[in-house]
Amino acid sequence: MSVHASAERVARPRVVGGHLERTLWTLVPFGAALLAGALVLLLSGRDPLVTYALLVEQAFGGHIAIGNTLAQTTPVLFTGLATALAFRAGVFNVGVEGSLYLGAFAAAWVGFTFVGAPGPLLLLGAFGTAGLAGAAWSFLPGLLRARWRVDEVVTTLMLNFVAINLTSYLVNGPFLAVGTANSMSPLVDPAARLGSLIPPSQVSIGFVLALGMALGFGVVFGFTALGYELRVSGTSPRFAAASGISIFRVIVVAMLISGLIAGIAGAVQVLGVNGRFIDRFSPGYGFTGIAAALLGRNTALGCVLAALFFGALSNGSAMMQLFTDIPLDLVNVLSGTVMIFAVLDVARLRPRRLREAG
Amino acid sequence: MTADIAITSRSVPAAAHLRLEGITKRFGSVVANEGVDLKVAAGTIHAVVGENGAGKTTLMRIVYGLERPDAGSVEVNGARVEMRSPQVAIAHGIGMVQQHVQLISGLTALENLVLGREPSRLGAFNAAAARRQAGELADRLHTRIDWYAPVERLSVGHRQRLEIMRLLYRDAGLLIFDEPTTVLTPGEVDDLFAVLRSLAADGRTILFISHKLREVLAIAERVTVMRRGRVVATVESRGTDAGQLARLMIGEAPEPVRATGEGATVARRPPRDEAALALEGCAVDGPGGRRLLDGIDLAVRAGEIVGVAGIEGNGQRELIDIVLGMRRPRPGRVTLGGRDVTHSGVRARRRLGISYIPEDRNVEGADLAGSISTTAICLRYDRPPLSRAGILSLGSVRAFTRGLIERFGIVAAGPDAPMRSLSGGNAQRLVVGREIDASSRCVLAAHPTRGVDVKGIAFIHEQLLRLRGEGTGILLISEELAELFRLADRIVVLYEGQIVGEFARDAVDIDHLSRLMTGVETGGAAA
Amino acid sequence: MLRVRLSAFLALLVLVLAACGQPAPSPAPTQAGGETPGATSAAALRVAMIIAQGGLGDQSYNDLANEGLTRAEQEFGIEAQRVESPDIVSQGEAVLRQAGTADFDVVIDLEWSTAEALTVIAPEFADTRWTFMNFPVNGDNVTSFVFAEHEGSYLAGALAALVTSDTAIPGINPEKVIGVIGGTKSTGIDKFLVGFIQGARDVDPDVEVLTSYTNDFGDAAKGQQAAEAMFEQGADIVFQVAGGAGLGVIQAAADAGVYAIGVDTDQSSIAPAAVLTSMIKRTDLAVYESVKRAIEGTLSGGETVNLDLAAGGVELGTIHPSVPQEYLDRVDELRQQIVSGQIKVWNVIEQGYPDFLSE
Repeated sequence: MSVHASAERVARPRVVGGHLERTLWTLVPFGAALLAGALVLLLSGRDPLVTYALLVEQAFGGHIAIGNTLAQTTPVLFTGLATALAFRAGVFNVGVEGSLYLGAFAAAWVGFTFVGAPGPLLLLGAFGTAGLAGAAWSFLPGLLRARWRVDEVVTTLMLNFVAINLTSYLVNGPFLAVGTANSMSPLVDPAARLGSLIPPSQVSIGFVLALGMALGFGVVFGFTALGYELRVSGTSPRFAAASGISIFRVIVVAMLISGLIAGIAGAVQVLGVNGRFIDRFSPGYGFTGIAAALLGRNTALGCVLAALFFGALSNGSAMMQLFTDIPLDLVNVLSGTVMIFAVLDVARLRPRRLREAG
Repeated sequence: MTADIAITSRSVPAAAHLRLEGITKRFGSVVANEGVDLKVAAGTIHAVVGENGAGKTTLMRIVYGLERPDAGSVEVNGARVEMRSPQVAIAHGIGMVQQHVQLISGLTALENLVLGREPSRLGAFNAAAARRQAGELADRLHTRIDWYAPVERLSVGHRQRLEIMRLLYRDAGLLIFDEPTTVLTPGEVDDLFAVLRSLAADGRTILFISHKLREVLAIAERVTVMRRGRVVATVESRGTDAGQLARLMIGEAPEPVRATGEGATVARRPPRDEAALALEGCAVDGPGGRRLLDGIDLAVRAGEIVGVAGIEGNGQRELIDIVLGMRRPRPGRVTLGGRDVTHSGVRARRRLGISYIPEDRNVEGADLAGSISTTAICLRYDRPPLSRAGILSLGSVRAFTRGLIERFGIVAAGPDAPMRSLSGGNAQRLVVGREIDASSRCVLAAHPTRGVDVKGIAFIHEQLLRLRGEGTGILLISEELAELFRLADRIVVLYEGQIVGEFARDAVDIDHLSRLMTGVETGGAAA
Repeated sequence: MLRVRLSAFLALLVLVLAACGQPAPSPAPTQAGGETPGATSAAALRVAMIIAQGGLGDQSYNDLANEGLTRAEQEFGIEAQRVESPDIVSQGEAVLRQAGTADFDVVIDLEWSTAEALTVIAPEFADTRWTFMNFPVNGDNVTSFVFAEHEGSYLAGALAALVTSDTAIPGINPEKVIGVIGGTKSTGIDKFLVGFIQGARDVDPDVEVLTSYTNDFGDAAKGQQAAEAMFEQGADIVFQVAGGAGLGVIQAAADAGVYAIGVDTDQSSIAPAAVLTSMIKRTDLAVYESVKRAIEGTLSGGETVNLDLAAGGVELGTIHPSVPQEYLDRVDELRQQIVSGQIKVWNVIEQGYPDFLSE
């Protein structure tokens, strides 16, 4: 069912003993991206090595830089996992962005509405509501796909725009912060804020939650009956169906969990970083999450590494602009190249090339 | 396999439009075509018939440049041609209408017609000219078609007609049709035949692949029969009849294994009188309201093997689906061990003891992307000892898989080795082992030995007979008559979604059976 | 099925590529200013400017501010860095702190969502002077620039009232009805509305001013709908205070052959025939002023600079050529009266709501 996943599997006839080789091939998109970026830098008259050194320094030089990189990693890790979970189950959920917005708004709403409630209760309520909102948002496309085979790529994509505009309306209308002309909700109760992990950097304990989510993701797919059902339905849907696994249930459950993770991502962003819901706050975390899932081969560890890459790129490139006139376009070239290669799936090209060589 | 065939081809008229000589094609160890010679006279309708797997489609794909033969030559109008690709075939005036029509959805009928060869004026698409030419083509075929409708909105018949027009638009002189009638309703079939006749009258040559003998005799002037990759005869349709063709197609009746020989190693007890599986009045409708399965009444008693004979595509898939619970019959009733399971899902029926040996183990029987364990545990992963409260016990999973590997003599590196690393025979052993390991009340086996080597076949037959002896009811769907004769207590014939005949194991009339299978004789006529 | 899956996959590919292009690739920002020959001097002032959400190339707020910085670079030979990020909303705080750590002399923050963060960070970096736009932020080393939008809007309202009564001007109907469309009901937006209404009434009490809100700053279609509704009620001039949604107002005016009044930047170029004038907020001036004051040593902080009509912080942009000279003279007269304090324009933020516009 999943074109990508099955093609990727087909591409690896020898799985045994190919671990190192496979890991190396996974690195190819990154290498290609750096090369493409270097070319752009050279063409614009800049020294690639100096520029990359600055990028790395700004992304990882010191605990604050690392903290800020992790802060940028967090939302992408969540959305990457949300996407990967659906992809593993053979559901092309590209609506993580929409669930993220709903979750973010829900968390903010709890945070600024129940001001004064005990902190733990507030946090629990905010996260719970955010998760529910995210899951609810992805329920409909899941149901449509499972029951009537409506293409989920189309529905989830469309619902993203609905979610962004719906929350925009809410925050411009009924929930606009008093006294501001700009579209944002009031600040949430400080008790609902997630503390900083590495003060004074921006990384909150939301990053720990994201890592926990990644761990949970690995556990579900490696050690649970549910993970087995999702996995098998994704790679061999007819085998799963003939074995008695309800594909209907798998699709709906995968979409619900995916939406739930995305909703929590929104909550972490609101409670951990922004402190409020801001209209159109996401620069496309959900879509970067798709790239992270593809790059990470839909595995937990892969998602962590890919999210870290995007986080470092985002943080490093923003900060380095303080020290050099680097066009933002370079960042687009770098992340764009990585994503193209991730989607192309270099592993598929490998056997042919080897054959030609030999 | 030289049969005593009296009818040999009469001298083919000098103008052979297409001539194949010594075409041989192998896929791995499977021989699809062996030394095939074929002459097709210009301006005639020539049919190639044979059972599924007889090599018809491969031969046509070679002619159309989709496959390269390992040996042999293709001549078009007397000149030898290397059919490297469909482009070469098209350049030589050969067109093919495949079983599943190859049109691009989203484009209109007109756009599909001219795609790749658009009429242009001053470098721009000349829509008026395209529409005019389309109109002329439609007139020639006496067809009305909505040229501005997206192709996906056209009926199957119209889409096929459009594909024919596409070939004519490209000036194809030789048109190949691969089982063109399987997707059509009877009315559409008549229309198609009218079109084919008018094309032949126009001087074009038609090569028509089918396994439906009545149709072939109605439309073709000459018929070539293939069996197991070889041409067994080419006959004039006026000088033959369906019964003869059916016999040529099916071949000699294999000697049914009775109480002697290999089959006798397992004691045959008479079936018990309780129904393991029963279907009552089951019907399934396909898209467009075609009946894919109709009025199926079938009971499999405990300790009985019921064979379902028939050429693939006559409702076997739908039969599997309603037995397994992937689809609900409408109307109809399914009972398992006397329990009504009509509205139960696959899992519920599996729990009640139905096992399934699928026709394509790579698709329905195994997860090729996973480990051997992944494939092994699919019926038991959600219960102790393999899992408790939703948590898999990896130790138990491995132990369980190892158990299957040992019990069924599967050659494998271990439970965690990739499923893909198993050979076909071992993979089939794993699937069969898994299915019959569950205490089954009823086994649904579809082409269980397809693509399996001799050793594997023996293993599977042995297991089925053993289960039969233990009182399991078995529904065996197979195209291999030998397999059915050898194993089944009873054989029913499925043709166009209906059971058209039934034979007790001791009273099989091979002629009668093959006529029923190929639709030469209908069930009603037989009765 | 395979085809469907493939097309879905291609759609996904497009989507992913679109995602890496976010924000929509803008015309590459000109960075030439930073490398102007001779601009580097040992005592060069180091300035960082945080570009707001929307990025450079927005042909609006950010671009206008950047013009001011570029001008300052050319005039004073300062060293300026612009920091732009698609995720400035969440990174803003970190970027501000890093700018402080990197010892910039002046940090100009255009991103509005960082107001709270700035109050925390500015005190940590006492040697750096911070400026913030549009909203007063407290801090000894923070200078806030706010604009007297109500004064500029007053002039726009006055001009509209004059024009709507003159049917000799093409597109003007006999009805004395004009309108104003806000992005949302809030004091920040109503500051414009109230000034506009007051200006119109002072010129001609008979003029009726319609008001409505799009509840959206981004969707041009909503602005268009709101404007069309007003045109149907007889309005022939509509002032838009709705950002991107306001572009729809201008579009609707162009389609209907009537007039719109632009906001923030000179929007005449969008539809020269349909834009009566624009109420310009000189963000560029604020940026330029920050640098100039820093060099002069007067960017002391703890201050909110009110860029009003007198300071040239707000003004009317290009005025439609068919407006007769006498109206221009009248508007100029009113302008003098505001500058001189003869006319007090109601400021909703400081004074609350007047009788003629309910809260």
